[in-house]
Amino acid sequence: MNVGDTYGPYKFTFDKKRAQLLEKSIGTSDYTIHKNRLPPTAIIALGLAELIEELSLFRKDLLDAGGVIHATQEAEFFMPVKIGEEIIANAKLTGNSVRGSSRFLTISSNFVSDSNKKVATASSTIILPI
Amino acid sequence: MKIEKKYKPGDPLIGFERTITKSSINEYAEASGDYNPVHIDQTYASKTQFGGIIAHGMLSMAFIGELMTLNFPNTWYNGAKIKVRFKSPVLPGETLSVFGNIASIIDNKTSVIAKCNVTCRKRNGTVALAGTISLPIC
Repeated sequence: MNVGDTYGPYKFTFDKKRAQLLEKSIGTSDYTIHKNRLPPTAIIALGLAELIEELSLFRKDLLDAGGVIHATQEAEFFMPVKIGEEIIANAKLTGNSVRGSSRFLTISSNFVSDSNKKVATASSTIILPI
Repeated sequence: MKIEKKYKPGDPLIGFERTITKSSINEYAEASGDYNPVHIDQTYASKTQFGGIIAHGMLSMAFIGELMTLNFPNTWYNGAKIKVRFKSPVLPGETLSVFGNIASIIDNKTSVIAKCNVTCRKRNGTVALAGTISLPIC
């Protein structure tokens, strides 16, 4: 993995079933889902999950060595996303450093709607065992 | 510039508590697509430094999202910036207090921005998540 490497695009849709599961896990008071808008953090979570899949961060050697830790998360939200709306995410590796027995990856992502409107940006720091 | 509600530095946000369960972790895994074994596989998780399943950091962050939707329902979705650090793992059965306060308010001519400190804290006082959020409040 080299700084500058790009990942995606990932296309995903947060459908009603998924939104209801999310609502149940968070224990919301329903106003978010009833207004037909997704919690902004859910968009970031979906993008992160796709990226982790592409980077194979749950592969056996990493899991056996201690697994992946999500250390920090930054995000900026520009507009609400409706349930069922398609989102496209792209990511880039913007940091890759080693400290002790851990590798620190910083991944920057951007999210747009299917009409190419800016939805969110995010930056995640993940720690991997070396 | 008109603000819907009068805010001043130091004002607490309306907070709440949430108890994390294995069910809520599984539901979050399915909703988010994050099936990291440390969140869903007790056999694997018991061999890690955590000693068992832990909740997704993004689940705690989702609680912060709820905190902000509760307090700023009209502006959280448009123009908010969030920065959090996941400080301590959350185990099933633990209860988090989700709370925050207004740290500062900046009024420029085009917008009023509130900077908030936000936290998810366990009942034993351990901070699970801490961060800051800046967002327009009018």
